[in-house]
Amino acid sequence: MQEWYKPTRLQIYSFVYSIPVVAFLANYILYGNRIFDDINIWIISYPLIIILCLAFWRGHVTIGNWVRHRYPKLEQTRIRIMIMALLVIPTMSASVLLIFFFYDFLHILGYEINAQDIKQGIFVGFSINLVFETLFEADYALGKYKETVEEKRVMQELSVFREFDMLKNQVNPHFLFNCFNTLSSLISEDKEKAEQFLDELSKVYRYLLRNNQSELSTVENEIRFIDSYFRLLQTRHGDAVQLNMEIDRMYKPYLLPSLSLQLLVENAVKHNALSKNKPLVIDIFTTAGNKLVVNNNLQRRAVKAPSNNVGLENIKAKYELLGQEGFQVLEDERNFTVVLPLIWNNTSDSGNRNFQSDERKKMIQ
Amino acid sequence: MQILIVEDEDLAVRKLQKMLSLIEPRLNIAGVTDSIVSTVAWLKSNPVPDLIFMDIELSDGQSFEIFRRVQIDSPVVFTTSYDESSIKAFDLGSKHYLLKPIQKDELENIVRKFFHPVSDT
Repeated sequence: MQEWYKPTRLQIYSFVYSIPVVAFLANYILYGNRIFDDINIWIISYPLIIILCLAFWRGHVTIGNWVRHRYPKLEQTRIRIMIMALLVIPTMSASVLLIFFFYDFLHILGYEINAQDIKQGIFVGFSINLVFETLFEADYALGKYKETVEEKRVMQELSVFREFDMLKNQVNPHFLFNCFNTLSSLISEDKEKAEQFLDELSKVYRYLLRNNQSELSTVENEIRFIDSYFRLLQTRHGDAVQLNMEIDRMYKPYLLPSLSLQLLVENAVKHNALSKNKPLVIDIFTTAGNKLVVNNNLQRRAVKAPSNNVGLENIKAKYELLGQEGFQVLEDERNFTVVLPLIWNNTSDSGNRNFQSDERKKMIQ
Repeated sequence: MQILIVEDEDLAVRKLQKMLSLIEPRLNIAGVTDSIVSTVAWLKSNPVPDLIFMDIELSDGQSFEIFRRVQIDSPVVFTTSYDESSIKAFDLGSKHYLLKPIQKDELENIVRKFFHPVSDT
């Protein structure tokens, strides 16, 4: 970050490109038409004005930048401009007066001060300041605006991830305790089933914990996970919930946002009525064009489950962050369908940590 | 003493039944329902039970909805797996709840509180 009292690049360029004209105008006010036939004006006064203006320019820049430093926010633009005007107009007038008195005092090339010159000088000084201060302010505000937009974008990104974490923390304990409860019932009833259930539960939890860190997982891992997850659901709900999966082998190494299948299955269970007569049927399948589809029959609950749609929104936001198009939510009277675009895995290590090496070989064949 | 169990997981129902019969053999499970709709129907067509055990997440919604649809005069003990805050938020006369998996001594305390052998006859 640049020190506030240093001139910006725009301020330097503004001085360099305008000073020949400004110095000419100043000399014209001082000496009138003499400027066209007295070479001494060009040799002595012209450079002198440039040097004086350089000093004043440096002073003005420091004042202006101090005001911006003191009132930096975009919302403070009004007060910033007011204070700027209050400070810049008197200093500018003083600078102009100083030039005339200086010339008059030293009688430079026979100059004598008069009211007409002062009026013109202040008018020119004011005009120049108005143009450049406006330019600097616009430049500053634009830079500030860009900064704000960028900050906002970063904040949004962060909040998406935070929400996702929150969601996972919200959902997991609830689910975990439901599972404990089921397990507690199973132990006395069916020891073998209880053991299987515990095995699946530990697989599911290991996956949930591991994938808290990673953004993307392979279809293969997500499917294996959802298989275990579903077995837990089935132990709890019996035949009231059914799952059919048809995954084309070729899509197994593709990537999708971690835990999105689990989120969708959980949503389906949460928002639909489950009963043995009218089971909830969830279909997960791949289609041509690198898509994975999660579909369930709609049987709305008598009372809507409390929901803020954060789950679906989150998956959507993740795809947006990845710049991947094709995420779709389709709903009619009978079905609720979510289309997840699959992402080609070109860094084959990142998503495949859980792969066994022989499985990798199988994939290649 | 007549008891209604509102719970949508078979396993949980069987577990609760077993625990109740161990605590007090004179308890009678008058009914078991698994949804808002079936519970409302049961309550309308049966004598008022002496105690209701009610799971919060039912197959067709949260059990609080039952209170909006039918007058409940029996004491209600909510059973929930994890979060008791939703019970506290829902303002009911009685705020008894049991966290699942249900602990035997907690269940026993509740049963002793409401069990009146006189009403058994």
